[in-house]
Amino acid sequence: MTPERRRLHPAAILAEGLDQLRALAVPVVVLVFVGSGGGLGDLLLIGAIGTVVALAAAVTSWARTEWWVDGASIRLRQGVLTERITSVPLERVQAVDSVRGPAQRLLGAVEVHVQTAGGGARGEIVLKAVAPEVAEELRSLARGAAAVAEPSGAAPSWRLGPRRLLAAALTSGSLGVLVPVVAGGSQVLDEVLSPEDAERLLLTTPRDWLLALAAVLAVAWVLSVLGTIVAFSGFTVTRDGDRLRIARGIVERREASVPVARIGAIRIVESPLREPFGLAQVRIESAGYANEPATAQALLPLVRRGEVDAIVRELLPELAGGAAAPLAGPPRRALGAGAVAGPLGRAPGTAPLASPPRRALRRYVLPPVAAAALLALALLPLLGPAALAALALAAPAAAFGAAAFRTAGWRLDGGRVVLRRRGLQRTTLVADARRLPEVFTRTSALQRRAGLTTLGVAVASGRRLAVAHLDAATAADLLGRLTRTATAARA
Amino acid sequence: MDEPAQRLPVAARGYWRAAGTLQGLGVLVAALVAGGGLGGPGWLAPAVGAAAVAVLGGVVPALRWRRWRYEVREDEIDLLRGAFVVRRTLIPIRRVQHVDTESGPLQDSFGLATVTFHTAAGGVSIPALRKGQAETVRTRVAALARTRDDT
Repeated sequence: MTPERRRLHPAAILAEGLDQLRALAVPVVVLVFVGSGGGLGDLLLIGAIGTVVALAAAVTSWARTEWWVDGASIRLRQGVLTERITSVPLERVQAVDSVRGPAQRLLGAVEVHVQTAGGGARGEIVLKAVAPEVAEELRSLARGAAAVAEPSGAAPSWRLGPRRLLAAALTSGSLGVLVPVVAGGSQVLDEVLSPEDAERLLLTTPRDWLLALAAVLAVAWVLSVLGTIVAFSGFTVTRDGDRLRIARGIVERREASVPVARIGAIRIVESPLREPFGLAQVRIESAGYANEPATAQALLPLVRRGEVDAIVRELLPELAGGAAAPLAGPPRRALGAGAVAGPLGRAPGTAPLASPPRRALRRYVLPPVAAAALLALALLPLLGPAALAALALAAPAAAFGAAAFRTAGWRLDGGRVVLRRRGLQRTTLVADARRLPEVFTRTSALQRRAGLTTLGVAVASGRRLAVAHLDAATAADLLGRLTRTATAARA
Repeated sequence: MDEPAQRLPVAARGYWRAAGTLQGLGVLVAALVAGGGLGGPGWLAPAVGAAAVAVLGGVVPALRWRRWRYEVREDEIDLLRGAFVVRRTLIPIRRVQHVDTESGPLQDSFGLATVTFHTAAGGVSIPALRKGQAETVRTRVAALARTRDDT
């Protein structure tokens, strides 16, 4: 029996056409700006030609695209000039995600991404538009014979409310969004400006530089606020049997379904803008989602850190119990007299993390202080004695080192390992120790003399997290225990 | 947990010396070109190049070889390595997804091959085993990974 070959939903034509137009838009705009006599008429003409070309391309590609399911795999055949067939065995399917872009929503279709473990960001097979029932059909096929019950009405669920969304947006400020802005901006300037124009725009005084920097930062902040609102509006996560269903987004409604068995760890991230307010983001570390953007990895886009454990216990009991304790502060005795400790919010009945030994403190403090001193030294020839002001950075650098020391900690119990460290942000990794793909230690010559060792783990998403300067004997013991846990036969 | 005991074959040191010497010669050429362009004392560029050859082709391979240990046990792969920063890595065999052996042209002339163990988190390699050994390790780990796979 040959399986029935199916076409995509006609919404695919619209969606594909819009994609094509979007791809054409930037060169067209640049062309019009650069082309000296570009009047409104020209613009309209170019726009019309572009639309026709895009539509023709979209119709052709739709007509040449077929997909079908035969016995054991999903196949997609596409390509106008050369034929390409992608085939994904059903048993390798990790998740069937649906995305609703404007075009699909308008015409009542969904875009389906079939995710596999090794897949890239968008999934191995992308069906640009299919009827919503088809997405469900694929999901149940992928789930195979071991189909689980549909979610009952009481399925644990968590929603990001509007106030939380706003808070998440306002504190999202990630420097990552700067890169495309700066790159795109400079490219446009290159295209549009003649060298003489560029000359005039050159920043000459320090005040110009500061203003430009402030402007870029402001633009980046606004973009990241908007980006967060778009990405996380209506965020809902629901536990559905052996899966987590995550729905989010306004412009594009995305629904991801993540098999719990693939979630090797969760990561609690407290960024500098959120930590002072006791806020954190919880992310999933799952095989197959490693290349997804950070927004796709969010389990809880924004929560109070005190709530993390209770919510995770509901949604993902497999990885609960690690969160409350690591969110507590370190034992106060680990600090020198007079040091300032943050508010300690330890939940009752949870074991604290083990800290690195007291003698490791100076190893946490010295490198940032040395970096500050080196910076001052490097600036000396440029700025003269004024560069010594950079030495004032040594104080915050030392404070940062001490904070990193207080943050560092680990715990292993009940098959769960918790590691916490501080870079710019405080990060806690809670992983299922029985499924770690890698455990490692790292010891520099200096550490060896001091009897200290860095210990870390890798989880199935490829994420690594290491805690620096543990006592060497403790680290060796922990390495052995982690390995035994990870290799022990499953009960 | 005991440290791994198996050493790499002596040929590995020879191979690293050859590869390191080639890199050092590359540095020498770059230094000569840069020295010609930038000026400065005439002895500087050859000295930098000679130092690079000595370090990359002599010191580092010796240290690296002396440190390298590996062991493939029933349940895990255990690697210990690093000339200056000592790294120990343990990979549970049931997490190994597949195993590759690979041999570049220079490596091939020493009769050596690299075995790479791929896991969901990336993977690790034993960089220079004799080809027969590499083959044995690959077959053994692949077989163990199959019997221990329970996911």
